[in-house]
Amino acid sequence: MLACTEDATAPGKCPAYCPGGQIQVVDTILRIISRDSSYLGYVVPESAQVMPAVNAFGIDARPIFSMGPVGNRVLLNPSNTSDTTTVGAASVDSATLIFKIDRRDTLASNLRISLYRMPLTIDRNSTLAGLAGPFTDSLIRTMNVDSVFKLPGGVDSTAGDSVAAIDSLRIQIFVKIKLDSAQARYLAADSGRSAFGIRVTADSLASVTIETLNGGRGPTLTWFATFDSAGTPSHRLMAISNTTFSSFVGNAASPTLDSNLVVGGLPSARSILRFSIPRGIRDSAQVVRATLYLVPVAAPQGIPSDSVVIAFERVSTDIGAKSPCVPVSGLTTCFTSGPGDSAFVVPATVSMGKTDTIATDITDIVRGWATDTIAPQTLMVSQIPDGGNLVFLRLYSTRSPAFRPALHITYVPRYSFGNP
Amino acid sequence: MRRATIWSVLMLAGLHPLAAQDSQFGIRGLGAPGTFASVRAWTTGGAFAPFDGMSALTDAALSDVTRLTASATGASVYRTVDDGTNSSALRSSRFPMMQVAGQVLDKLVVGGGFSTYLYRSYSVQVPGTISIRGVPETYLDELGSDGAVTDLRVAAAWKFSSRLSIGGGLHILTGSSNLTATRLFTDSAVYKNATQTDQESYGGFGVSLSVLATPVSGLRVSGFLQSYNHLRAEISGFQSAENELPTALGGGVQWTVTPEVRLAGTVSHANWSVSSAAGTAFNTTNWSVGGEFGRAALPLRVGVRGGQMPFGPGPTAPTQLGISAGTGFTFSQGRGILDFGVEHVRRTGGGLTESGWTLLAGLTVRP
Repeated sequence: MLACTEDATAPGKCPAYCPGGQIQVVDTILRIISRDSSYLGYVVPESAQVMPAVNAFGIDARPIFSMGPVGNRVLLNPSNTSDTTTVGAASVDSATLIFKIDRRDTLASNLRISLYRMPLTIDRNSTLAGLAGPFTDSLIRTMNVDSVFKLPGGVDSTAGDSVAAIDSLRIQIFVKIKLDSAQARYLAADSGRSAFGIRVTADSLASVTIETLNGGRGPTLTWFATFDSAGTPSHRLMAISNTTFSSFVGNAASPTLDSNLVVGGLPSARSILRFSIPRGIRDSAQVVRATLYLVPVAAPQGIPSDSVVIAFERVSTDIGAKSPCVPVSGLTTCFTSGPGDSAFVVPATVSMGKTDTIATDITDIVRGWATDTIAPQTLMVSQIPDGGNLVFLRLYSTRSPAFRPALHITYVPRYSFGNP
Repeated sequence: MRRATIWSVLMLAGLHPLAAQDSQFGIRGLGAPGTFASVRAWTTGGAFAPFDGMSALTDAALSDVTRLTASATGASVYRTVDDGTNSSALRSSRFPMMQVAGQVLDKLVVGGGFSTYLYRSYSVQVPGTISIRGVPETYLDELGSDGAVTDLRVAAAWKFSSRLSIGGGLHILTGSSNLTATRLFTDSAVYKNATQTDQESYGGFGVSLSVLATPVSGLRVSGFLQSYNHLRAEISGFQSAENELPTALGGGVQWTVTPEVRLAGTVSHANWSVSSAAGTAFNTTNWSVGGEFGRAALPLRVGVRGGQMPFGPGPTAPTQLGISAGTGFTFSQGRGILDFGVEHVRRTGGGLTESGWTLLAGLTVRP
């Protein structure tokens, strides 16, 4: 009795029994992007999340990394925390190098990884030419990843190598290379420090990326040694060494700035797009679809599997090159492992060797600008992961009137409810 | 029991008045006019409304109220709308009227309350296809309104003698409707839905005059006039529309054949055509005939009403015909009255047929 219930919805017989006015839809292309620009150097090779290892299509990229120092003494009785007595290694027996391959082309056959010993002096200034010597005469050993991966359990019991898939897609893999004492070469004078370089080869499509410490899990070197245990030799783990430096050397061109927009590459480039959504649309209409069109200047060149994924990301404030993104709710980062909140960041994939116009749905972002009218209507365009690929994208900017960025927008103007 | 009934009235009074007889015939116009009748009068087809102090049709009828009295009405409507192609079953529960009146002086009775002047609740779905970016996209529009124009009345009746009373009232039109317009795209993965909501508020002013006479014993006649100026509608503080409102004239006759047989008839006319563009609004003439039989403590009421609806798409006004019946009983030594009723209404016009049942419940307390 006291409740108001309602079921008043009926099919409309228009216009006789419908309210006056109709919901309209307007579809238009707006050239409302201005002051677009590009910036360089967000991620440099030594701070990238991955190290590219490429040997195909004329691109030669080789990861180089240094392992930190380790001691050759261990606790005599590690199970007794009060016993701090140490014992020195009688001999270093072996070591295992473990690293994670983040991305690879599953069509590549006979993917082989060659491990080279690098001088301890490698740093950000190292070049492919400068390291030509070590990459020629300091081969430690070569492992056929595909062959080991096909073995039962992915384990080569003879060589001690193994390959393990991380997920069901079997794209990301852990690779373990076992080194004997001569290959590992523990030098106490260098405090156990070591440096390595990697070169990949394959029948075709030799291109992988190796995760670095910045990406979450860099290469690790686990040392094993023989210790004297009351006159009895004991073989046990001596130390685990992590990377202290990781980068790559290669012949790939770095992105350069010009009048166009540049995204990706290493050092990585980002571009900023600034929109001026007409107030009549932003404040009074409702956007039902918004597509951003960007035209590549040239097709991105690289391994076919190395498609470029770029992200269109809202910024919380527009201060140019250092405009911060809008962090994911509850996190301090702007990206999540999943698709993220499409109201703030939208990805797009660009295929290699194609100059197709990049059409990206940014509807939720544009609707977000209508909700938060003081938010800057600015998008930062970057690669995912930033600095994760040698390939960069060059796009036409507003300086090229014929191919300038455009926003194809479909919106519903304000509905007039009519009489009374 | 007394406390319970008072609480019931207070709770009823706190509720927002909304439509009891929403109609598709009001969508293209200002709405569907209200009945201004209590449950007792409603179940006689509205014929007893000019002679019922708890109805809001005439002010002179307040003179019959001899002690403080409050009355509230609730209605549940179950109706079917058939446009020849589609048939829809609709329902709603509303509280369309509440009145309070009491004797101030020996010959002066003052009363007031709210009643629904125009019912403006509806929701229609309109499917369609539109070509966007060269691709046909199907959609479904939902256009709705939830609310009413409410008549707040302050009235007084002066009883010149036992045979003549004159009443007058001031009316303030108020109320609001929640308006929604939504476009739902079938391909919601590509096109987002668009929803617009607004609140439309109403304003207006009116006066009413009425006379109630008893020329001979057992026979009462009533004449009444209601005149309103404009109905202004505002959305977000800006006037969105202004429509003229009609002047309504009417009269009624009530004949008490015996103390247990009471008959009445009423007819009214309103020039609704002033409110909208020609061809969409029509002058209306409505009539009703009804009777109340049996003891006052437990009577049987029946009634018939008919006439026109003011808004419709056709060349002539839609018509309506209603048949009603009800009863009521008193409790707490006559301090409380519960009235119940049912009405079947059928409206036709412009290719649309609307029919349904209205279940009525009313509570009157005389503390």
